[in-house]
Amino acid sequence: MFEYILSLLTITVILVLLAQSYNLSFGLTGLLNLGHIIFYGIGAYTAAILNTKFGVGFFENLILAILITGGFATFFGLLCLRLSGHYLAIATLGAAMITSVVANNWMSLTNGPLGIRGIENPIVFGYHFDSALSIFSLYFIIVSFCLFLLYKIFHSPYGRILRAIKDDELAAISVGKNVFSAKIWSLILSASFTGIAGVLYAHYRLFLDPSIFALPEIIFAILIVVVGGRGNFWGCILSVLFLQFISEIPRFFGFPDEIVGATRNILFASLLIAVMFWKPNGLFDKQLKKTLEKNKK
Amino acid sequence: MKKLLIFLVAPFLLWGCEENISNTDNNPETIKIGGIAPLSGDGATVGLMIQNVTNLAIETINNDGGINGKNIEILWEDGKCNPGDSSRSTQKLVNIDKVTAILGGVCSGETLGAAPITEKKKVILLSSASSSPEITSAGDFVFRTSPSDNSQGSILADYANKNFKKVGMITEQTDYSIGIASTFKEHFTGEIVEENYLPTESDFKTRITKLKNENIEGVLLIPQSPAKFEILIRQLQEQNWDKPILSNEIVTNTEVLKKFSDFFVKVSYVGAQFIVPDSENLNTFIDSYTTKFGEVPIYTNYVATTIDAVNMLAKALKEVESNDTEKIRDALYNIQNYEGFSGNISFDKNGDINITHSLFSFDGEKLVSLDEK
Repeated sequence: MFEYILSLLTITVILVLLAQSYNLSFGLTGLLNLGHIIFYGIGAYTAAILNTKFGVGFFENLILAILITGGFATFFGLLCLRLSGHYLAIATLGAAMITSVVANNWMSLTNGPLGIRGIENPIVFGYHFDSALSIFSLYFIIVSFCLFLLYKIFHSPYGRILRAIKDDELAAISVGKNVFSAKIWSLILSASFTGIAGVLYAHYRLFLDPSIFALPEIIFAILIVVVGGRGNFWGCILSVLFLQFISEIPRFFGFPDEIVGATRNILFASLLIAVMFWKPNGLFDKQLKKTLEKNKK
Repeated sequence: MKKLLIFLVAPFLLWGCEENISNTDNNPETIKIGGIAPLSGDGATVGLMIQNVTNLAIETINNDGGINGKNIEILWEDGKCNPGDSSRSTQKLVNIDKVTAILGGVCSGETLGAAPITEKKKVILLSSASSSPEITSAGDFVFRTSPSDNSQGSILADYANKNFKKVGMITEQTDYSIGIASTFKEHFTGEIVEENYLPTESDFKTRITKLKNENIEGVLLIPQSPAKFEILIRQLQEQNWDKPILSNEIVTNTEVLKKFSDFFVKVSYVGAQFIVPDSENLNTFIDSYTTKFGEVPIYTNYVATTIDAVNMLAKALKEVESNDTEKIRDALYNIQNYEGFSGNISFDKNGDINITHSLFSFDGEKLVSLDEK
């Protein structure tokens, strides 16, 4: 039981980092980037390939993944960020499809749909993190550190520029802010943190295939941010916990086995629609806090 | 008010969870095993069939007295045909339900996603349908009762080496099809003109036209499903294709081939098939399956491999008489020349089964083995 909970918590901390970094570009800056999962996949593939083919260690992979996803985000940003709104959404979704096709076809690099097997658990300073508790502790520390940095970014003057861009891009330009550069940096930072999440994922799952780029993964990332409230730092973390909780619940409720998987998809999709309709600012926005306080009184 | 309600209900949900978890504590009267298959989504056609076959086979064993007086209890989880979901399901089966063995996955991705966890926890993973060559080296506790794709890729290549210098190849981009394609490429000495398509595509006209202009002597089709095979054949026929056609095992069901009898007789068809011997036991099983679930199982060969997987695991459990998975593993390796539904079978040192594919041609009515010719 304990190990099962630890395995869930490990995946949860990885998802928290994935979601929070997405929250930076999509939530805070308002870039409707549907290709965010690309960076997660690239991070994971970087770790998988370098580890299995060249024996590169966990920490080196983290650094290389930051550089590679950051570099890719620069290129991606220069191409796509000239667009906005729906156009940006379509272009980034297209980019996600392209990456998926590349991962499926570049057999010599990614081993295509057969996937990469034999990735190692993290080894740091000679210590092999292979028990559930040790991996969770390591990941918890890494993710907490990243979250601390992200929190600083969210609440820095730069973070306020990003918020201004989301609220009114024209106004931000009119007060002399370099909107394009701010947007590109938001994407690069967001991508680098996502790359870290990808590395953590690969070194935890130990097997990687192109399904990491699949549409359900993209929708799940969007769902986390929307449910948590776009640009809401704590809301996003609560949202991951909440979604992980409801996604595991059907397993324990004696539903027929063939319904459990579908139930989860239906739950998620209905939740996304419901939140968009009735709580466009997310389930965990400040309004909720106020209501709860009122109820207490 | 609504929110308050949610907070009020939440503890009950948790309590319900707890209730269920405590129910799954090890019951000494039963032997608990897990099952992983795609129970929802695209892979569910095969997944649900394998789930039914497994349940029925276990029911038969339990009715015959179970394992040394204990009944087998199987707990199913949806692997959704991908490594991520399968890995979550495996965590649950291994850590909460404390199963000694898992039957599954069905898709190769499921088996490969589960393998790192079962290896670490020394839990038997026995698949009856995953065919990726990668599974051969996935671990010491990983077994399978269906042949690896290596065998179809290599016999098709041997046939092609004898008969053609240049072939065309149309491959669907799934782990299954690409596995076969890469083995074929390894073994074929002639020239290959490759064409790939995504699982979502269904228009192959330009690819066929291109192949027609390439001066090839035959074409190898490697689709993922019988439905795609049919679409490919229909389009080849529409474009007056006149070269021999080779294919993977996807069309064991001759109904699909019969739809195009004249065409296949004209161009000649050779397929790598893995066909299980027609036995009375198998037919009886299929009859009881049909009565119970109201439909005929679609893949007879996987019905056979699945029953074999269940029976071989049961045999090992009977011999070992404990939950010691290392002993169960050794017992599985020691099973030699077992008279199963899919033939006379044994596991090799990698946990792979000793049955292979063989080549068949189609005479317009039925499949004819090329070995017998």
